[in-house]
Amino acid sequence: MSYVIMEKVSKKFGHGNTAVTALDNIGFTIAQGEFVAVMGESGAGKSTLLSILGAMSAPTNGRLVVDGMDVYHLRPEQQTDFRREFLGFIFQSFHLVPYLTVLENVMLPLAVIKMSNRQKKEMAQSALIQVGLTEKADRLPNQISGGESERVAIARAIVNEPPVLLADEPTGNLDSQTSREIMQQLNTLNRAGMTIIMVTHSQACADYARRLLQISDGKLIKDQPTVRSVPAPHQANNRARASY
Amino acid sequence: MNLSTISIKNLFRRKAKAAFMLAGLIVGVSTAVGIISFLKAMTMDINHKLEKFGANILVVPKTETLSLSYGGLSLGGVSFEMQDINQADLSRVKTIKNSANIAALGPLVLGVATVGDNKVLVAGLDFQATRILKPWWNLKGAFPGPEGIILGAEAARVFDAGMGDTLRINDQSMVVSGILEPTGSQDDQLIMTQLATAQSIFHKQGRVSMVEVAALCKDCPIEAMVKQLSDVLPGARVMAIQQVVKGRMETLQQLKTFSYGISGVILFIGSLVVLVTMMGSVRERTKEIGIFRAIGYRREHIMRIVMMEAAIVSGLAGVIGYLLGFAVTKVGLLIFGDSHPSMASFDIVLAVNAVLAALVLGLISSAYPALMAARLDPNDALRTL
Repeated sequence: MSYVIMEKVSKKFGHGNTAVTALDNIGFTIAQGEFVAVMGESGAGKSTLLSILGAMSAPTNGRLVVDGMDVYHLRPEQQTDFRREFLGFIFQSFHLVPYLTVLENVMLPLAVIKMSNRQKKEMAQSALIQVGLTEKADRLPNQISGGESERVAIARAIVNEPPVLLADEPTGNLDSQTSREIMQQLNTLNRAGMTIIMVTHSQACADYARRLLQISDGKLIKDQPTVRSVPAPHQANNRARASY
Repeated sequence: MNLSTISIKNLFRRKAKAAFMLAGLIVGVSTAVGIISFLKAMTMDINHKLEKFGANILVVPKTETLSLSYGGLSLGGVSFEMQDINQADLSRVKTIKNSANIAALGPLVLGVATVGDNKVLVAGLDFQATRILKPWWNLKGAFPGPEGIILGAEAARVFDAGMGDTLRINDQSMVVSGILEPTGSQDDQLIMTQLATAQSIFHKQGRVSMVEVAALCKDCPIEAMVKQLSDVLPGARVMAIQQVVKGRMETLQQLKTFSYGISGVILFIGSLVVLVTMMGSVRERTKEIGIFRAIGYRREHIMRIVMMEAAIVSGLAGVIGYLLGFAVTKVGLLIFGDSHPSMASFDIVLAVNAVLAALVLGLISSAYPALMAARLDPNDALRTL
């Protein structure tokens, strides 16, 4: 069943002769639990696509429907609430708040939710367990490595258990070994049922996804399954059964 | 973890900026508190001193249309008989509720006498009370005995009389025992003698023309004193010398207005410091605010973070500013005033108002930066990342 529907979406910046078309009539659907990679050269429109998916930039034409909600028909403050409840963001440069500890950074999305501090702490610690960083909870961001920072960013993105994770070049600033660890982390989350939409330049990272969307000059030029080096859960199970 | 955690931690992270904002507001609040406290202490002191010296209540006979202005009085022109006040009635003044507030009671007998070919106003006074009622008098010589007189500066010039000279007043020889330095008032034109002597000259034994009263009105309004005196002296008209009271109050009011104006300017400058600092802070935090918006913080949440920072600094500035202003007042009174530092006491109302004023100014000053932060487009903010 389609969970995310992008329907004939275009995005133009500017007016008249100086207008720039960042996205041109893009349409696709994403099922719940899918892991989708979005690739394209610089300036192809990937970031624009991600900001539209992230309810931060209204399309010039078309619509975005998530879980049956036409996102850009919501009021601005409702769109903000939608982001908080439905989406988790992972940014390329981690973007941890430097004066908050690792635990407090993970708790950031919960700061505006009416909940006891104890509950917030438990949720944050649970997220840190998932990414394997509980022992660093009291450290500041400048006291942990790049890979650990990215994992904190992942923990922050998933702390309130959003159904959709948007990742913008999550391994862009990491070495290959750390990148693999991060991608495995995302894979684990996907196997648990999270829908992941990831923008990446790296084919190696894209191979973790099950589906690839290729964008060029604002147009969707390719929409196909990936050749996965890491099998999907159902594929792994089928292979196992086949071996009997 | 809530929004205030973010505000507090950001303040600790940007200690220099927070300290700068704090200092700006502390200077404003402490200056305002210092001026107000100092003025309050001085007002009390001035009021006390003014009330202690100089009459502020007049008791005059109940007569019709007698404009008995002791300034420029022309008793010779009055065409009807003046009633006097019975001197014995004055003992009832001791029985009023606020009798302790009476610093001095000065009965006067006034009459027109002849000296040579001239008519002159003669006043019979209780010179003991006069020392308190007229502290500005500068007397060359001595206060008179039963057969002596003192002359006002102008009277001495007109009669060309000096100390030791004899003047015949209504055929009574009286020796000049003293001459007043010019006072700039009607006293300069008077011949003054003891009350009993004047009563004898004018055949007004046991009667007085009017009574000057110096009342200390620190703890009671002057109207209350006037009422109490009226009640015990039904045959007299008791009135506050409005010019004295009014003039005193006007002077103090002008001083207060001026000092409030200065305080306002300084507080305004303090709030500008908050505004500029917060605006700089918001510009530095574009990235951070972009993240907050991206992860689902509403505009009101962003505004709350920024304004909470201002509120914390402002509240602290209010408390420290009050304490500093209070301390400065104490020192100021010691150094610059002849008032004792104990006249400046802890004023809970002023303290609360100082904190509230600081808070209000801080919040108002941070409103625009908060709005600026809330309006940041998360896309623009994230693009800077």
